[in-house]
Amino acid sequence: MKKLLSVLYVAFMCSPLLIVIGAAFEPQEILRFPPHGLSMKWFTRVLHDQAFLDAAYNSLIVASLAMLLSLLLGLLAAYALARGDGRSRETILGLLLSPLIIPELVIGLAILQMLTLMNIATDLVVLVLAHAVICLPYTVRLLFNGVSAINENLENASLVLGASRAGTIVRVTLPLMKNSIVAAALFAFLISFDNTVISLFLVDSSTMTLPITIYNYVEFSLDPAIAALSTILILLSCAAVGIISSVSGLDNVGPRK
Amino acid sequence: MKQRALFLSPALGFIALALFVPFAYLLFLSFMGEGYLYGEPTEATLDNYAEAFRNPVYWESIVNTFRIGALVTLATLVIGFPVAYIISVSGKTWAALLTVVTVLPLFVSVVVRGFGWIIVFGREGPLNSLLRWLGLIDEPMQVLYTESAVIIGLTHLLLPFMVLPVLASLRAIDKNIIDASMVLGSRKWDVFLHIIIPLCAPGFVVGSLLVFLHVLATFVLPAMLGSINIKMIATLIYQQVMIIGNVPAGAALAVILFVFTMLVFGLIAAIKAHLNFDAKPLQENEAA
Repeated sequence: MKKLLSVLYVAFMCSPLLIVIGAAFEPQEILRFPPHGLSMKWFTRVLHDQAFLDAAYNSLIVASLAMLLSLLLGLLAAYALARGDGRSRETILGLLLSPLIIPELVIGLAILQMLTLMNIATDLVVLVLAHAVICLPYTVRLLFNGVSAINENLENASLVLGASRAGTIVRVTLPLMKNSIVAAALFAFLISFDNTVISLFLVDSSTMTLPITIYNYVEFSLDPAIAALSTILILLSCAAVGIISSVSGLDNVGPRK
Repeated sequence: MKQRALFLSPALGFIALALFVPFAYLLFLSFMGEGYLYGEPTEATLDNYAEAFRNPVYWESIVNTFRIGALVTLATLVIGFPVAYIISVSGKTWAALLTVVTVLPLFVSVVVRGFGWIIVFGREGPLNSLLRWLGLIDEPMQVLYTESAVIIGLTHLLLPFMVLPVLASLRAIDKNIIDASMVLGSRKWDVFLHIIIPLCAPGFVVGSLLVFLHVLATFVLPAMLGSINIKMIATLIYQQVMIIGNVPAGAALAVILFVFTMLVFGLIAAIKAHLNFDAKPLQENEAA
């Protein structure tokens, strides 16, 4: 019974991904599973398509910068919340986590209208800032848990023995919370890299990201090129999961209470 | 720590400028007439909000969103709890495998998964082949661009948000409580019903909260798998703003969506407080 349920669950969770991978090897210009043959031609086509390459470049840049910004802001805030006096901690935490409660669509729409009002063009910087808004709750929450989990006596010992507050943070606190920093960074990166909804409002033809490219493409045509591109993304995701599970452990990554 | 305010201000300032100010402006827009952004002078009005309840298309979208939200939450509960339970009692290998399978899709972009389902649900796709092979249908079924497609896609998308919090709750259960209960003569089923389920309540609530909130605001999968057939609040907002160009109407719908989200959030927080209260006598017994 346990085994049967497990197998069914694995099949359900993996099927859409495995089917995409299978369809990418179809030799003809038909999207189907199982493929009628094995061909790499769609992979070659994707890797030589300038539109796809540009989108991949934009996605990488935006996700890296959004990750750095949300990590920095999140680290400062998480440390202050966990180690400062508890004054209005719940309220401040609530404000910082509020992007989780406000639907992404509403965030995207609000930022777009604000940009229109102020006559600011939508470029990659705008995209980075907007993505950082939705990454911030994840970094704050994961890093706050990370700091809170550290035995404060270790930091006090360092302070008593003469280290400065800054020295203690750099030499004691940050190394002890290494795992949550890695988890927060990867989480922020992927939240941005995979984001579709906010990007949908804020990209134009020169700032296309990968998810938007796929989204637009699927609306107009269905051929194995998108399956090949998706396969590459799936393999990259598998690599990310591999890295996380080796440095941190997978159940540290998921949504927390 | 004296520099608390200094450490907090960058994040708070950022959220205020990048989120709260634009949100306030959106709120303002929602009270303006349709022509406001095109330079027509308009006065503050509640028309955009009244329209949401007067216009049957708007109203249908709202009802649809809640129905789909409830169904998906239920589906993730029904599938997610057994899975979390199996993970919590399985040996290392199985537990690790099931955790990877649960977490892995989280790292794959939603458009990729939507695309995967488009292939699965196709008229000649694997789902129809399977059902025909099983002898359940004779003719291929139209699944793509129906509500079923959206519900299946969303259940798959949001299962991790149910499994992981429930699993965390299961793992946090003090095994001594279960042992004590068994020693004192409880049957397995009683332990399950009166100890494991109540102690998992925070996980259920958090999981349901996450799943429902995601469904309320979800846009990409319903747009990909339901196309124009499945009307939900989010798809309607996008249409109003980006296609029809009536920003104030879209803004009002966005504010309504936000209020719904807050209401659900408050409701679930209240349930959570209530459940925590229920779990207390157990801890007191343990202490005694």
